[in-house]
Amino acid sequence: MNAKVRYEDVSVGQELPGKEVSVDRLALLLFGGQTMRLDFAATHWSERISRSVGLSDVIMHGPFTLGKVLEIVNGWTGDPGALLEHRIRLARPVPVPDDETGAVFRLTGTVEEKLSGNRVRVGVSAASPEGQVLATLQATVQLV
Amino acid sequence: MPLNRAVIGRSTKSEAVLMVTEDTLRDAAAQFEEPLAVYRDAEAARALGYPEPIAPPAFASRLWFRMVWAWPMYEPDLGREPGANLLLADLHTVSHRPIRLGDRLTMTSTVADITEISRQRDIIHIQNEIATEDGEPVCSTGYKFVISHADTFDPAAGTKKEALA
Repeated sequence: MNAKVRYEDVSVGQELPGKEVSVDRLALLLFGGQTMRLDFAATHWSERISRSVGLSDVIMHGPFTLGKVLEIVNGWTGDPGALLEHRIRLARPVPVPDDETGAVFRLTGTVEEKLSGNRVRVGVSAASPEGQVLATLQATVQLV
Repeated sequence: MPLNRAVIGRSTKSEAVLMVTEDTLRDAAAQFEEPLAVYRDAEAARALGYPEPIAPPAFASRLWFRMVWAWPMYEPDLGREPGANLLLADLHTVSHRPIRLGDRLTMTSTVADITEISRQRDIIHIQNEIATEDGEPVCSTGYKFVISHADTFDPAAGTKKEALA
């Protein structure tokens, strides 16, 4: 492990560089087939069926949301292997509309605690452009 | 109808070993903009102290679908009606080391708990231990799904082994 962030340079309350990520319908389909291999639950591809179960549109796979939210942490440390533990709470299904942008996540993160052994705990929030919280994440990362 | 609490504590093990190849890593990283080199380039991996390229950390959270076919969601004993909807609410991963190129992985899944939160809804907690074929622990993933027992169509039908095998 070799994160580019030094433990001694980090303080509680420090913000991680913010990030905005988006997922369009093609990315969602590719994730279900290529990356997830194979999650074709109908709520991930059929608007008709999604609406029949009360959703506004097809929705993200939970592990896809997790991967996108982790980008802010991995981008900060520069070492995805420095992630020792993470927990995501998915607040609501995330619709992926079939338009030019798809689903948009505004990611913000904060150093919440400095732990022993050069580890820190960070908290991340993923919100829609309208400010609705889509997911929250807590992660423990190994710094140097 | 609530889920059958008698399944709490039951386990299953993946039938086949998952081999982590260069293709596996490329597919795992395909939809992400994370720093990518460490997922595919041996030199970049060594620069960070890894003997081989590693998998994106969220990869572990996908293996329950891939290795044990979302067990026990399709076990008749679970008592989940065909129309009951699944929603992933909470996902907790503990990593002992990154998954890396050349790993031969197995998974053991256990029903850790079932909690009834209303007549229409249960939370099921499934805990997965991922290890190498030789028994070295690699990581664990815990899922909590909210299962709603009201709908008539199975939106999860596309995850069934029979539909995809």
